[in-house]
Amino acid sequence: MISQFAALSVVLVSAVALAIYGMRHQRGQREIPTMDAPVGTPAQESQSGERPSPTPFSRTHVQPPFRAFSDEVGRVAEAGAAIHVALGSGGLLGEQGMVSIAALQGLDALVTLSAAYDTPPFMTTGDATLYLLADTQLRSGYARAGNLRGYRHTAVQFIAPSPLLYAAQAATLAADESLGTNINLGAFDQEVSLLTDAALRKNVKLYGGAASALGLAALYPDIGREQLIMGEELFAGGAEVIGRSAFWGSLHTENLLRWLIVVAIIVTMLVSLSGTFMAGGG
Amino acid sequence: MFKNFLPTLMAVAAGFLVLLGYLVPIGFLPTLRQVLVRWATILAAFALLLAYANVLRVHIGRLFQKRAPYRVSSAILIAASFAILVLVVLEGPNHTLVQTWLQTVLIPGQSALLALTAVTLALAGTRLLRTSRNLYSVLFLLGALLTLLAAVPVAYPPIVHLVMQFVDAVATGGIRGLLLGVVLGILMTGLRIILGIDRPHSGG
Repeated sequence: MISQFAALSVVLVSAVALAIYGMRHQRGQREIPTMDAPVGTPAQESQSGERPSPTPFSRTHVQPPFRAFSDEVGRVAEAGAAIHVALGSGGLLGEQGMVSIAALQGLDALVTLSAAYDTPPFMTTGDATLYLLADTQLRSGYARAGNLRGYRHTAVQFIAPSPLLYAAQAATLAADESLGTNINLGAFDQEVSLLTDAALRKNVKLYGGAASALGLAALYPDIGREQLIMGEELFAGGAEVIGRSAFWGSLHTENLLRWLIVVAIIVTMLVSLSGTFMAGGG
Repeated sequence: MFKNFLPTLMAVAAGFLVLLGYLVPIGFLPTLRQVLVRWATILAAFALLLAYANVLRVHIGRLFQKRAPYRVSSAILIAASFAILVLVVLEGPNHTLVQTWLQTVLIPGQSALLALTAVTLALAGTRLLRTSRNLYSVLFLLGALLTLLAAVPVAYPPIVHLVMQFVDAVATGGIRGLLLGVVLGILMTGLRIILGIDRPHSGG
């Protein structure tokens, strides 16, 4: 009961903080009117190529790989190649569901630009519910671009329900298509090395991100730090590419909760240390 | 408007009730949570049907393409799918033939893939030495080597044990830190969906 009460308190504090930070960011955004423009639009970037930051702290959240995704659309289209996006096996009913949703949000700019240029990325998933979500995302990207007729039903593919089989089959597909870029973003474990290995053999440009330590350990050797999205950075994609106040508010709330956790850890440590000393003294 | 409003309302209501069922386990809330989760599982089964329809659509389409690579593998996949479907419908999932297929094809295949993953990881380690020779790469490989050594049942000198314990403590601390950050991200993503700010189910 105590743990449930604590969890409820955390949820309530987070909701209130999200509302406050979201409103604060929205107010700040009115002073910088370009922030809501999608990534890649000229109005959003200054002459130096830097995006304006809504607060001095926001720069710490910016993850370069998310912005690079939309640049890849043009680069790959010029080369007459394709982008393969592997979303992993994080189903919506499982504990990795939010990781998959965050990954899809990080790909929003890529999807929108691809739909506008009618060069859809080739998306693969290892879970049925994630397949439906990715299909909806790509389809709505086409709808936003006013090109729903151009949507291809095979652009998003469900591969296999097991992570290993998914990775092996997606790696085979990645070797089939004339790929320019391979993005492995989502719920992955060590099986992602099959995908990165296949891409590297074809000299394909690699990006990747995972929330699990196993997935990151497999990605790190093959992907440079600049192209790697590590752990919680994955949840910053929505703020970076969509730029809505709610996403930035979430990041600030995460920062606040992180500090609360730090304080809680230090207090717990001090209390247990004092208990040890008192037991030793007594 | 109705097209977006109704799914959002349903998602918010369902999410809110399930969360309340977990956090405030009083009255009818836990039972309602169980019912909603069961409904979600049933819906996921339908999602699986749609996903398999996608698999068939892709591979049948590939069969009729003139220059599609791996047409044979598509043909094998379709044939195997139909054969297993017929077997399961006629004889049930516990029939000897279905079980034999599982034990002799699928499980050994997955084991082989797991072994292949170990090879690709080792290859990635050697590539790291060639491509980025910096402090982090050295630390990464050293950590991996020590962890591998720790798995070998040999009597190491005390100093090696001490180093292994140090690496283990650092790795455990790092993993816990990573998990804490991920959990915060998961919490905020879930909260945005429950509050209706974020609507991935409607593509927005």
